Amino acid sequence: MIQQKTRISCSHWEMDEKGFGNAVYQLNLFGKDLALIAFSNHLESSQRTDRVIASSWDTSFALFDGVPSISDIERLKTQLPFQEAGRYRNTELVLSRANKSVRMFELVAQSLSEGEQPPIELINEIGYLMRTTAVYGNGKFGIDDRKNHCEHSDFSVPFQLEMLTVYLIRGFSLDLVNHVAKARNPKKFVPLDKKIQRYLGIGNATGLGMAPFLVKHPVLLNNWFQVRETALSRMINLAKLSKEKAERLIELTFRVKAFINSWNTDDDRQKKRIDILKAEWVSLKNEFTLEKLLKINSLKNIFNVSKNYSTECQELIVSLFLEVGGDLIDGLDLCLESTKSPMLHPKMRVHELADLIKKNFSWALKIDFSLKENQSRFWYVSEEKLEPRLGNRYEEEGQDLERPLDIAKRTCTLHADLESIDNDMIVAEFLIKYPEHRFIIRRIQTNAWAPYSEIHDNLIDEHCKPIDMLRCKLSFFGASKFDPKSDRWVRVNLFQGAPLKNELNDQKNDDWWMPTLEYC
Amino acid sequence: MDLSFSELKDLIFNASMGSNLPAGVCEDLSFGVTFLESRSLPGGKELLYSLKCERYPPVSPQKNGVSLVFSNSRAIFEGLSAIDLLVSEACKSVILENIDSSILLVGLASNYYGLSFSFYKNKEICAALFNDQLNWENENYKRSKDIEIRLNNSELNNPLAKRSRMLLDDNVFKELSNLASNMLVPESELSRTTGAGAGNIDND
Repeated sequence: MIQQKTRISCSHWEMDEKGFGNAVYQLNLFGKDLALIAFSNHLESSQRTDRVIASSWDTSFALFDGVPSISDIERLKTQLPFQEAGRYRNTELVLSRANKSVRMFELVAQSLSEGEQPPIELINEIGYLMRTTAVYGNGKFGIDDRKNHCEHSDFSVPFQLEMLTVYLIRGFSLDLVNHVAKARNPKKFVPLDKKIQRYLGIGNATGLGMAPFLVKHPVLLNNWFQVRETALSRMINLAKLSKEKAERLIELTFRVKAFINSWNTDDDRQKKRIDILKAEWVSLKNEFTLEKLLKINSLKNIFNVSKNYSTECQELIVSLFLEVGGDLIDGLDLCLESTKSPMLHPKMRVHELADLIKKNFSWALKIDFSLKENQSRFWYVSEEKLEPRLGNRYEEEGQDLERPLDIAKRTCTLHADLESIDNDMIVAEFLIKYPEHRFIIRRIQTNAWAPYSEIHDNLIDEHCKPIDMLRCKLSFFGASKFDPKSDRWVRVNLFQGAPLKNELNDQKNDDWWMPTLEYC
Repeated sequence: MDLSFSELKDLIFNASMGSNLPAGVCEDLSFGVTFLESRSLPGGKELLYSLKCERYPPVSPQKNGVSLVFSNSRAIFEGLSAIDLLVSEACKSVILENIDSSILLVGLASNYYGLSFSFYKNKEICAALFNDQLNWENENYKRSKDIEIRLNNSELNNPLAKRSRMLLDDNVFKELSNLASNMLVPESELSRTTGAGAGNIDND
């Protein structure tokens, strides 16, 4: 958007003094008119839950294809606040909803209405005014299919339109808090400080749905990791870092400590990880001197050193390297999309299939599924708002309705069945006898050309932590401040430090890696 | 019922799972049926019909010259196997006798993207498939009982137009939705309290 110098304008704002009403934001991106349509409604505290099973929210949104007419807005007024229970047309590209961070929204509004800026401690502690609790794209509930608009290469990057929606919601949340504060006391009101506005991102609360998504889209998962690994490889194989890049790296490292210090969570496991990261950074930051960075293979050396540190620290280093590599890696985003579908290869001999399992799925073969604890979970979809859930096989009803996320177990079962089969048989013949293996065979064959397509873990293990999968997916969206609320629920912050919607006209504003109030 | 492509694909997958079909077969059906519906062919209706048809005891295909012959075949079982065998070049053609849904076969074959299939009735070509293009010659094909499929290019050139939205008959939608709901685990207090986000206070 910065390259395009995109202008986002509020074309419609109809809000009462409490901030209830509707608004429309209009923009043109790559020649395409788009609009965010927003509704803000009163919500009783007793109704405010971020869970999928919620039925009402503080705000609801649609990304609209084109310029919406009054009748479009009127139609969506009767549908959008109901989200999944509404019905939509192909003019809608993305649906979303968000709840206020009540404490934050109220305190910011009150402070501004009294002519003061809100307390920095609270801004640092929460970091956003609203949390999105779902973002739906790709044909859900009747909205347009992704494939209808991704032919335009600028929109072909996965989740591009969803993330645009989230970015626009962030802008709306800032406008709304200013509006409410001004309405409370127009004479004393002061607008929220630009620096604070920029520091505020948009929260997101996420549950189990992201885990089945990753399993259901093996090629997409593969492509995301291929891109990440390719980008990292390009960076660490830079023989000589330019002085400009080295200086930029050093400049960025100054932000790390403050950023990590502003990362709050009540989760014990994550807290420990952050504490370790803080300690490790104290020693690792010494690698980032101009003298060291200008040596041959400096990034590779730092990368190798980081292997001795925690995963959290290793990821920090990867993120830091990628941040200065825009000219080398930005084009890779066009490879994130999944354009090749998994296809069965029925001509493959059974012994070739067995070899693939031994070579690429040894991680699965190591699991003993005769042990109760290795298959105590099952994934299912509840009748209650179609929520994806994870049950205990031995305590809950419904294991006969299990969803196929048990990749490791299916691999082991297939492997056992292959042992009694003539090695020269082809897969097509094998499937006549064992049609139940069609699903896993296609995945194993796909994995031969898409090596990152499978999560190397037992997703039905008693100790499986879905939260790790959620974080994985969210990290590709640039989510930060990972704050687990249980082993299956997480809050994150998106677009913290990103340019505001009226700051997209200047390239220098595209600088928001590890934002802190000091650097916004 | 006006549906998006993805909605229909998910609906067919879930309806097939709800009919106790193996997950891999459900994947093929979800893409295959949606392929047909997006060409204005009644894939959903054909699937429902096929699911209701009696399945004869499985019999191995018989060789007849360069062909493999499946007698008393159902598209979602023998049809799928026949297409697999054809693609694996185990034979030059497959003949499906007394097939329940000739249309569904076309949808299932469409999963082998990049290959060319020709569909014959009484030696006469009725349909041809290549990549995303489906050429359709003979309306009678829809009611054909004996079908031969070959892996070759055809000279048919009557491509069916592709729709971006799916228009599913309301009754078909209802019936598929009912089947899909077979896969949903009934609500319970235990399930609700172990769901993601349970126990959190979100008024903070």
